[in-house]
Amino acid sequence: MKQEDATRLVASLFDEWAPFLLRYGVRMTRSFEIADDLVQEVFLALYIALRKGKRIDNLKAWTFGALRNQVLKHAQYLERRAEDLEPSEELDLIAAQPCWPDVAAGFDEGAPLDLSVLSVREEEALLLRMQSFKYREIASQLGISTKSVCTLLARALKKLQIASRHPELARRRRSAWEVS
Amino acid sequence: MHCTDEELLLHVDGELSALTERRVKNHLKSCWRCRTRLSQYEEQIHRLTTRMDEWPFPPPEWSKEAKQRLERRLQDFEVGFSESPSPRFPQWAVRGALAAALILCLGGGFLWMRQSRQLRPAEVIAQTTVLERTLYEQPVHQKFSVKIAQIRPVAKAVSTELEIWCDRGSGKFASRLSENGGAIKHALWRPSVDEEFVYRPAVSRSVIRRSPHRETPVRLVSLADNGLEVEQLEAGFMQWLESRSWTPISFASDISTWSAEDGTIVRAERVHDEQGSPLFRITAERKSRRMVAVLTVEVESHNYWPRLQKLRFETPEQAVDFSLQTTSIRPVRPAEIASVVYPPDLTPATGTTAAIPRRDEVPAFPAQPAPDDIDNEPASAEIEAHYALHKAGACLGQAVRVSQDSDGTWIWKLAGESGAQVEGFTTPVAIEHVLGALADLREAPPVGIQLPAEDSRPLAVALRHAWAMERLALRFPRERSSSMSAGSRRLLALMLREHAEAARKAYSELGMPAAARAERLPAPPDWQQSASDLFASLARLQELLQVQPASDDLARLGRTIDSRMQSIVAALSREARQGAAQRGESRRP
Repeated sequence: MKQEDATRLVASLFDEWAPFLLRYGVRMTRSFEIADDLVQEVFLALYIALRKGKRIDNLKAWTFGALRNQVLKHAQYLERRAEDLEPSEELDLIAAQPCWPDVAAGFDEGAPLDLSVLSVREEEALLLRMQSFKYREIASQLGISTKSVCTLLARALKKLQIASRHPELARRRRSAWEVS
Repeated sequence: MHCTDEELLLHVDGELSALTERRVKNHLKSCWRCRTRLSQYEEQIHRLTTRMDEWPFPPPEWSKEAKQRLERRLQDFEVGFSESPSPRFPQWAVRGALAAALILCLGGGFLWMRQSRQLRPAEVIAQTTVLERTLYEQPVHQKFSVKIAQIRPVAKAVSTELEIWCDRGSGKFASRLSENGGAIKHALWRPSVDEEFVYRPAVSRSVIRRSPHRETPVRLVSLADNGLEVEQLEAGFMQWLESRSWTPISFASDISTWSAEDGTIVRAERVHDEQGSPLFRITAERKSRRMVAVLTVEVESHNYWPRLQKLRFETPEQAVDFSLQTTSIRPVRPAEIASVVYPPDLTPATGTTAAIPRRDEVPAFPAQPAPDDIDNEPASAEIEAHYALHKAGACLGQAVRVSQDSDGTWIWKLAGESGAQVEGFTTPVAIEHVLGALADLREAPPVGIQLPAEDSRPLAVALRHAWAMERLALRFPRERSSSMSAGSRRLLALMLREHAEAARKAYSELGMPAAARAERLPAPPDWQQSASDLFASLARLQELLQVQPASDDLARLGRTIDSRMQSIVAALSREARQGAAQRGESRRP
């Protein structure tokens, strides 16, 4: 693909999907900083793939898959780091993270509280569904069957219904989830 | 039946199959409860979507800033990126090409592996030939178990044992085919190039001397010429043995001769013996109008060590197997060969010719050498002991330690100051002989001559070697050395030659004049005298060099020394010839 075409396409896709990908990234990595980085990497990778003429049938699925892979890689990296580091060094690492404090704070404050009652899987499925992914696409992204996607979504909506009726329950669930 | 949560959700999302969709729709038309649940779901989805859209995260300034960052990175990437000028192949073409290459590689690899797994008879034969040639260059003792087994029409077998001693260097050879009980069926030996003896009790009870044969060797396939009965085959085997040219039995050369002829089908395969060790088996099959003959040779797969040679003759009526199974192949000392292969006592049976001996004549056949035989002859054991110490370098002042265990007598070289054992070897000579020889070596040289072992100046080295020769001359004077066995004399010659060569090499480093051919001194009568002269001259040379470095005497001495060194070994071999001739005369009436 030509440079201008690729730049235009990537820019438009960024406008459309970056906020969603960032939210997803923050939810998964618990770090705005890292999620921000990963989103940049994903769009750069998309651009390189387009420039090298790689054929991508489903851009949305490709981009989300790339982010998910990045997140998993990051989790593995953290696991390895945790093995190498002393506990005190780990604390240093955590303390050094936030440099967009106001933005990071916005994530927690304005987030639809109900989401916090969901499991990671349920939340992933729900977020993808809200981005108009079809059941089949969600299934392939998460590596599960279409039937499981349906179950996850149904359960997620049920939980959200309960949470909207009993906000105090949702708050308690949320703190429990964060601790775990 | 009411709709499940999943069905309602799938209905909302339009993911239901047509059949279920119709059913759910029909149900929803009639069921208030399910319609309520459906509307609750839709309300929930609506609320969620609205909340998501209202979520201020991430703030618009992040989106703007992040997009700018991304654009910078994209531009950075473009700096190092150059679009490939060549037209890109479509993906399917690239994939197809890759797949084709992979198939080619796999196919090629498979073929290559098959090729490499395939055993080539010529290669196995060549490798075995190389091994056997190396093995049989030195004196060797072979032992085979020979089995001739008739399979058809009647099953019967004869087992014998074949032993062969051969020293190609000296031309000595002996072979013996004996029953397992020990009775000899056939024997051949050749003490020297012009003497050959045959003992075949089935034909003659006494040993027959025969003139050196020059006939072409009988071919293996001719074993069956006399017939396929066990006895006939055995007779054929004896003829084959007699016709061979005094060499160890070589499986590789037999099968390569066999397989070189037209119409022979040669195959190679991998097999395992009873113990499970891997073998290569070469089969060469030859068909004639009369019979099928198959020669099989088995060698060990890791080192091509010959294991079995089997010959099968098959006719419609008869089938017989003839096999030579290797029991042992080992290098031997020349002394051992010498004691096996000596001229037999040929007392003629009838007084006129040895070819027609009396039937009741006691056969004079060389017995198998026992290690004790060597010790029974005092001079022989002494020479062996001296030779063992010579090998360790004790005759030149190397410190040694002598010990004894079940393996025999151990001689250990000791390191200079620490006295640690550096390397050792065993010798079958009894320890008392070795200790006796060691005492001989401790004998000090005549007064006034110093022979420190660590002095590496050429003259000192030459003197040490000369003293070693002089010591041998003192220990084995003419009357002893002339009656020695050939093996002992051989060892003595070996030691003397090594010393003489080393002394000559050291002497040549001195830069002294060599003896001109015209003024060569008359040779002394024996090597003992030569050795003595040599040592005396070298000692005198050392003395002169210390006192008056330039002297007429020096040139004269130089000539003596050079000439003596040449005469020592020559005198010894002359003596050996004389001794052999004398013995030969005394034995012949």
